[in-house]
Amino acid sequence: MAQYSYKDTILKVDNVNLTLGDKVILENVNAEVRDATRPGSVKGQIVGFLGPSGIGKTKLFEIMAGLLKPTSGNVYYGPDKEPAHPGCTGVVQQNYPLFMHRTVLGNLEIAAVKNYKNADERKTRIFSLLDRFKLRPYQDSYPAQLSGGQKQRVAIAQQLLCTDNFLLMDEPFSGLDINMVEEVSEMIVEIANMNEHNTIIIVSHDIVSTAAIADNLWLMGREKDKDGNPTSGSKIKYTFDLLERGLAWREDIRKIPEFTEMINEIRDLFHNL
Amino acid sequence: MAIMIAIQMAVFLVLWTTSSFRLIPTPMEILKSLQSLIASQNLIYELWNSTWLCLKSLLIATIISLIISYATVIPFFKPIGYLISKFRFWTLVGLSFVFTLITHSGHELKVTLMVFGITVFFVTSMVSIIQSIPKYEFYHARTLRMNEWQVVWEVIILGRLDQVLEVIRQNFAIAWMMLTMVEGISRAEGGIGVLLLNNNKLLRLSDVFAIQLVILLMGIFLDYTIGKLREFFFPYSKLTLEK
Repeated sequence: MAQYSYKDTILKVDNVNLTLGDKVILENVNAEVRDATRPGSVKGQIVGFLGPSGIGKTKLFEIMAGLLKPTSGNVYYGPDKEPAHPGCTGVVQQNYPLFMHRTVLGNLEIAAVKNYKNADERKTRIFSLLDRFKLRPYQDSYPAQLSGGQKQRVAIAQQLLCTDNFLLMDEPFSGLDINMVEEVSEMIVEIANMNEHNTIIIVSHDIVSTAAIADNLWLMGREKDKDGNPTSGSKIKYTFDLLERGLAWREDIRKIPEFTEMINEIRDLFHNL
Repeated sequence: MAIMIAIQMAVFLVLWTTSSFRLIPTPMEILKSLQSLIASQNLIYELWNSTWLCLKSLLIATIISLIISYATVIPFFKPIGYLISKFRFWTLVGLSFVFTLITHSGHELKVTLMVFGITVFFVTSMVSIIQSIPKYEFYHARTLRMNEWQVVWEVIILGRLDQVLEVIRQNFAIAWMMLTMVEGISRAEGGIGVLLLNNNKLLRLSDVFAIQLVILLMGIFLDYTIGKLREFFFPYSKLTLEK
């Protein structure tokens, strides 16, 4: 088992409630991400956020991104407890929206302007990301000329240029083949491990791919009565600390029997979320 | 594609020339009329007059419509955009009297009528484009730390500029259709519409067909030009379309 210790809280979802009309969507959602450290190496955080369709994952995602105001409660970022607001975290949406009227380079330029005032510094950072994501040959292409995978990489690069440490990713494995899932997984791990405070939250239906790279898992669901009818809004019902279980930061994770057992455990829980 | 069009045109011309239905003038009769219209009725000058009127009105209407349409992102201006779009169903004929009182010349009256006619359609199309922008595009811009004015600039104005040219193209066709009617309401300065109405009154059928053919060809040419301008200025606009 890898040596680790938890330090400061770097993201806190504090008693978030959301009611739309007379429908309670989220109820008393509480969760936190703490800085997990490993002696001798830089380890960012990857949280897998799982739950059935229609449970309210996207709404919580939008609240965490500062794009939607909760009815009550708040989301705080960093040790200074900065409340969530648009731009406080990078957001890679499921369909990888980009500015269709700008080239790849143009898309990255506009994202970098706020964080890199110096033009030379900006250029250096943009070209290093273009190289890192193998996008240099496409720098003058428009988004409509890119494949889904290339668009996803541009969308990630764009968010990395304007975010400090936080990145929310909505269904990053959706519609990808096995090879691409592995490539994207490696990329997410690499981004997370660029900085000790880097934190990536992955909203996904793909339990295995998400659990394979996460160090913590959140399962969202509702309380139900004995007939299976929901009696409350959604909340984080279960959390899995993969570090504690010795199932994080391991390259051979998919071959470990305990990992398979945990996946089955999550699958069983899914039926009652 | 070009071969297909050429074949269809050739078949059409053969059918037209050999048709026993004599009410429609033959291509040769129309060509002769065209020659005489150019020589004796100043067709080229009248065509230029009308084209200029149409383009000038289109430019003014575009500026006014864009200001109104972009303003509808502010809730206060939404009802104004909605109201203007409803004026599509109001006929121009009844308006000519009011506009005659507030304008100072025949040309001004025609421009005013055309601008009104174009604006109501233009605003309708633009408001519809703006309202159909998906929420995630705004979210995307906001996550890049843009303030609300930058979001409007990037997503609504720059992001939809290619579609503005398409709306201009569609509204040019509407304007070109309205031209004859407007020139009929105010005959000052002449124009190809007046030429058409005069020849129609005298039942010079081959002249009428010749003028209509000129109107059609000029309309197609300008429509093609606007389409090419869109491709030139906004090369990304056609990338997602199947050829």
